[in-house]
Amino acid sequence: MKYIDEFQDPELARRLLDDIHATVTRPWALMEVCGGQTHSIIRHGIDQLLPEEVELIHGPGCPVCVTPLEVIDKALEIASRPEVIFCSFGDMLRVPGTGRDLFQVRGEGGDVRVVYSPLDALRVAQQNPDREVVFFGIGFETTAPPNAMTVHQAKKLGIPNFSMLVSHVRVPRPSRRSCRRRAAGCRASSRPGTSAA
Amino acid sequence: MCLAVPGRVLDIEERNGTRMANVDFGGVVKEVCLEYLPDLQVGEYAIVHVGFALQRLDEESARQTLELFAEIGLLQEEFGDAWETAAEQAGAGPVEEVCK
Repeated sequence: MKYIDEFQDPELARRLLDDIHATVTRPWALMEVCGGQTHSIIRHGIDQLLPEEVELIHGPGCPVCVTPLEVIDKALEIASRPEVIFCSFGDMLRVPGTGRDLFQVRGEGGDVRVVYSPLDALRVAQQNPDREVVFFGIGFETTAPPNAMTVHQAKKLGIPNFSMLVSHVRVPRPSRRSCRRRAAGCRASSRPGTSAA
Repeated sequence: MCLAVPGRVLDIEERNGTRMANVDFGGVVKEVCLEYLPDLQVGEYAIVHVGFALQRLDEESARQTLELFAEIGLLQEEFGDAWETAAEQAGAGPVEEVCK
């Protein structure tokens, strides 16, 4: 089993679609919470395959889009300091703060580095004991455990020059609220994988 | 950052008291922390997010999900359209033929 091919069976998809078409008898509004889901729905044309009665509402988006401006500004301020190596997921570099973004800070000489995992940032701290390494800890419930584990590791290994600028957001309450505010009445939401668990 | 990707564990080692693994994502090998799935074994699959294995993928549960999809699809075939079923029960065959 490859865990991808088996879920891309056209025959299975066609049967599911037939079943959805047969089942839907009245308007349904469904909200997808995450931009990644919106992207997949549009890219694979799922919106066009669904019955007309099914309305897809594009939800609030990912943590990258909903991180508060003041947190971005804090990140820009910290990343500009000469003693700091600022580590971030790549998605955050183009998110504008007041007047600039992390890319610009890097262009102005700030040491801003893109990492795949918070553990990579911890490694940067180990390799640069004379610098302050700050990781931009953003994300939904999904990313919170990895960030927490990295802080735990930093403490366990006794790494004094590592810290985190934390801005986590939770999914269930905001998605319920944005559903309720819809006059049409959103009837269900599709949430990002482990955030929904 | 948003994506979690399934990968297969190639090897496991203890590093600084932390369980780490090399995980193969369809040809790209990355280091992954196993602290949230400490009993994950070489050869097994897991969903990995920002360098952490968060959920084991076992063939059994994946197969169950696929079977569930198949069953949902099959419900229509099983119960069919009420008119069609009635027509069949009356020995008239599928509706299309009745309409001809």
